[in-house]
Amino acid sequence: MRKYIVQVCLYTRYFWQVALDNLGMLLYTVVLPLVFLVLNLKSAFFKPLSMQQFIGTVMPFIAWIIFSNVLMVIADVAMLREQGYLKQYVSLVVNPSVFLVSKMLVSGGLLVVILGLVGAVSGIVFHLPIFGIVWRLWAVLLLVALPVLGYCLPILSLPIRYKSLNAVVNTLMIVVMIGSAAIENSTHLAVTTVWLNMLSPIYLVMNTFNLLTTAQWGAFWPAYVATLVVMGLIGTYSYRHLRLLPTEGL
Amino acid sequence: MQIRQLKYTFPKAQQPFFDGLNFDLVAHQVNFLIGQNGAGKTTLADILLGLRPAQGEITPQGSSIYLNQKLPMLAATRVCDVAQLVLGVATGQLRLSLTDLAERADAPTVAFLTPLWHRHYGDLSGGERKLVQLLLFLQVDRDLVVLDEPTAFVDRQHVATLFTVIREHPQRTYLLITHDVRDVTAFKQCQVLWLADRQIKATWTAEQFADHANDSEFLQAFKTI
Repeated sequence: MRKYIVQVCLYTRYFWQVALDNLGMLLYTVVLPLVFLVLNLKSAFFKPLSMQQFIGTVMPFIAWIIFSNVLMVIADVAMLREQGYLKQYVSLVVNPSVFLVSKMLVSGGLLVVILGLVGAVSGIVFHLPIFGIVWRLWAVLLLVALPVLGYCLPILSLPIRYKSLNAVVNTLMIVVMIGSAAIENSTHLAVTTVWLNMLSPIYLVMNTFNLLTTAQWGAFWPAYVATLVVMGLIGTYSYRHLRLLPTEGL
Repeated sequence: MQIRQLKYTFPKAQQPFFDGLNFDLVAHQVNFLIGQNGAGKTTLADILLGLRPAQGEITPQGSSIYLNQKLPMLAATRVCDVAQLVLGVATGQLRLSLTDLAERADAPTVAFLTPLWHRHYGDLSGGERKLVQLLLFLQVDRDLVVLDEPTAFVDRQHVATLFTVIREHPQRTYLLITHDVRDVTAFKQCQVLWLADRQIKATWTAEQFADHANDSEFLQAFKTI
């Protein structure tokens, strides 16, 4: 176990160094969500929002940030695979989850910063308590990270070529975002709906934030536990069928 | 290492690619695997490393390490970062200084890496980048070391450094895929395996290879061009 932890530490540090080495890209990653927040919600700025209005207005956007970042972690690992990196470096590590966990830790660190900034800005422009928003967003991140990872992991078990990866990732993102918005607009189902939490990470994020606002554990548990179990199973199955060899040349 | 009745079928293929493949790798020695492009050398290496599920017997099953034909691009970190990653992951050491490197690595590797230690990996030439990864991986102790065309795109002086490092660790079994006869002739003691028609068509010692292996157009070209 100690060896595993050391390897995760080393890989996390390495991926951090890679991220910090390209400072422009790092700033872009951190600032872009704020730019989108301003562009999408500027009409609602400087008007007081209740927490429930915040969930309906801003949380889908937060859900997109979390989902897209986890999806990019998976896409990055798939890119490493297609470059032959996994095939070569897997002989060094205890098991391939070292790459995944390290990438997730780096992405998690970035998300803590991004959500902190988005929470602070939201607190100011929507007249909400900044600390109350920020701790809830961080708690949401903690609670949804594993189920969302399970949601994205099947990508690594599929034979997707380097050139197709971006198309697959973008398509999945569009389907989840537009699909969730369409369901929301046409049905107005509650965020605690069990099957919606399993189908859409957007609903899962909104439901989790809703819990931290209303403290209605009874409404939250069924959807969250069902999602955690189903996504856990999907994630475990996908990890067991993880592809280490590049798809080109198979 | 004994490989017996090896059978492998590519995903979605109807017919097996390898069927009833038998050969031995000489322990604690360099084994060269030669063959035409597309003969299945990398596929065979993948199977030996357990990266492709195959039927048959591979004994004994030991630890192994592999270096790609085309080494993966590393992002723009410094050589010392790459060294810390590779050697740290292998040894469990979180920090690695040049002094630590001198204690852990063999002399030719230390001599090669020291002047490059603080340089950005991306600023090195293609050959230097390849050698950095090759030499670092060769500091990791494994029973079987598989190098897929390690000398391609590397100048002969750097190849000499690579082979010196290999000789520094004679306790390992090496499998080197190559298209360059100079690699074979660099080792007085080695085994050459010729993969053709999805079989190990011939096995030679270094001497036998030099004297007798001329019985095909491929081998004549391999040895002369």
